[in-house]
Amino acid sequence: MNILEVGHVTKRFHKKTVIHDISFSAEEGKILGFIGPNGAGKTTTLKLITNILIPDSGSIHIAGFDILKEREKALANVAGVIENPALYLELSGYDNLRFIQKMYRKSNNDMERIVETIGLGHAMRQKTGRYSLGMKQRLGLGMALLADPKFLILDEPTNGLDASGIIELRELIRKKADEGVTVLLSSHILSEVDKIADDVVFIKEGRIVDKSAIPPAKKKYIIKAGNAKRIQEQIASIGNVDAALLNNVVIEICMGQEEFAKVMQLVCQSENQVQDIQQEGTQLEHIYQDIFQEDA
Amino acid sequence: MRQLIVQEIKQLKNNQKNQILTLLWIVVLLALVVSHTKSYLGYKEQCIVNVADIEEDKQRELSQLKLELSSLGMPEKDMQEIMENAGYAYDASILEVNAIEENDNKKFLLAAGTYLKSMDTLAESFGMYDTNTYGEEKVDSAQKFRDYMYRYYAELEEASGELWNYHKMTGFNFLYRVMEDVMPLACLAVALLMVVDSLAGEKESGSIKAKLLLPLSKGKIVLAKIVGGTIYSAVMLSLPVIVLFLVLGAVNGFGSGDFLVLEDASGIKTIEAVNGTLEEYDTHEMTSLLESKDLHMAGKYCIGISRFLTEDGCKTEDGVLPLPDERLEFTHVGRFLLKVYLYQILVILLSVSVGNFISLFTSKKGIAMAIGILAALAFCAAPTMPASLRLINPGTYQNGIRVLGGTAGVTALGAVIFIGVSLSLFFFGMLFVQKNQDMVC
Repeated sequence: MNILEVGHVTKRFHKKTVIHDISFSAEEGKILGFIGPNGAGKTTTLKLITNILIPDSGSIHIAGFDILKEREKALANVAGVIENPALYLELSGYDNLRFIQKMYRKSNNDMERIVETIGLGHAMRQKTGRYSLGMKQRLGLGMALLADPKFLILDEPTNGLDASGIIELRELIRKKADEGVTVLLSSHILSEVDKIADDVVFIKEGRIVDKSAIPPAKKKYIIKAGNAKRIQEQIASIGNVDAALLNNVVIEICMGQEEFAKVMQLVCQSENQVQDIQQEGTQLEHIYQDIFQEDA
Repeated sequence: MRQLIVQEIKQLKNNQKNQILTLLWIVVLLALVVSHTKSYLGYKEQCIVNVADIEEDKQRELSQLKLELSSLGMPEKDMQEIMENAGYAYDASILEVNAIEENDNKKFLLAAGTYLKSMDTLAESFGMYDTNTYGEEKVDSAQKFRDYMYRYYAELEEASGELWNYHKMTGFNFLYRVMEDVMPLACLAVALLMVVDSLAGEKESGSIKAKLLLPLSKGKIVLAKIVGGTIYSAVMLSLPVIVLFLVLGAVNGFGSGDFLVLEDASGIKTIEAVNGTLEEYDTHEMTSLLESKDLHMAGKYCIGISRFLTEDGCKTEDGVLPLPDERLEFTHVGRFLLKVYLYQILVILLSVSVGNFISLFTSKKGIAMAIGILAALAFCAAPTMPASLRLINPGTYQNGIRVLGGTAGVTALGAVIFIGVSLSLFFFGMLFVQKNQDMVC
């Protein structure tokens, strides 16, 4: 069952269309990555989903409720951090969290648990205006989690987080998905999305990109071999393959999927003394590259 | 909804600009206390001299008057009447000083009534002393006398006016002064500035998203802003007033606001007397006013029917009614001030609605604040202030003299207008947002 259904949504600002007839859905209990370059319309889409912005046309359903007609029922299932953490900077971390606790009628135990989860116990009495970006991000996440939603929207959640924070966040998102919470994760860090997302939606210039229609791009491989120069000579005859010798023992090869088998057959001959073959970049990065290669 | 209102109040309370505005408000109130106390202390020092001056003036002026009247060859009977009334006016002025010092309402009413009666009769004397009565040959002298009497009358009027202006800063006197002058403008301007950038500020910082993600309608979010803003502004404007009221009460005594209420009332009647339009008052009305202890109106009537007022009480068609023995101040003035205060709360509601309405249409805190400052200046600027005060309380002006409160009908009409305008602003604003504009762009 889909917790989110976005159907043919269009949004204009001052006659300029920024979202063009987009449609996608999010399956219950899954993590959906939402990817696009800056200005592609990611945050605008998230604002439309949460009714912060009103679409000019199209429909958005959350847990079966039309956000335009049954806003309160639809939003009862949603929480999240959109664009940046929505904090009251003149209030303390405690007061910010307390507001959400009261609004969603959560217990003190729930609040204490969240404070522990976000690791801000030491700074809860400080005004959030004095928080670092990472602390603000953690508190914003804590406020979203305290609402205990069925559908969690996270817009660039790793912004400002340190390495351990990012690992903790990744584990937390996975845990939430295991508990049945659907997560819509918008991020520009492709490796992060790649590690935890069950599915990915790409957005480009306000349009959802159809992944099946993308011609595969060349992928880059780094090969470490005792006789790298020989490899370069061997594959020179194969068309549509670029090879560059980085040093005596390392060669970089760029090729499409069609040439892969042919090249590997040559490379893996025992005379070449191959020690290591690595594909550069994650799978998602390659797809991203395929989609946005023109921009790149 | 309740939690949303509490959140609004918390935000406004922690806003640095609002803390500065509250501090400024306290400074204005303290300045009011200091300036009035200074004036009062200066007056008190001169008070005994003042009474002695009046006595001295009385003797000197009456001698002068007698000489003038004799030289004009006025008949003894007419001259005696004029001399008596002039003497009464001086005596009444002294009585007024003593009554204010002694905080004695009954004595004050008698003094004010006697004073006005003397004035009224003196005014009639001008008409009596004319060419028809004393012949053509006395015209020059008659003109000279008329000029003299007008000058004398004006000086006496001014001396009496001085007496009204100095009152000990007791708790109730302070409360009345604040309610009359400072509070109405604060309700319009300070309340507006406290909330005008609230919604725009939340839009600018993005914190509004925390509320927009709540399972609530956008209307409730704005409504909570209006209700929370009204409660916050009312408390922040009232709290320092209440504290100063209690402090002044403890130091100077709570006293009575009666004299100030009477000041308003007598102002009208004085003007009517000077203009020669003093009417005969229905003494039955006076009876019921005294019985209901409506001092505000009774004050007007006592002064208005001064010719019926004696040491024994008020002569009415039902006989002589004694003036009430007990003090009227607390129940009456308390109720009166409460009415004015509740009315001012409605003004705050209006200001807060206007502030949030402005904020609906901009996501820039600075722009909202700039518009708010312009609006506040428009309310308080000297040329527009009378209009603002009329707006706050449509019943405040009568015959050019300001009277707090107004009639029940006018007050009710004002209240209905304020609530109506506030609600209209809210609904129009929400309609505009829903149809034409996103809450956050």
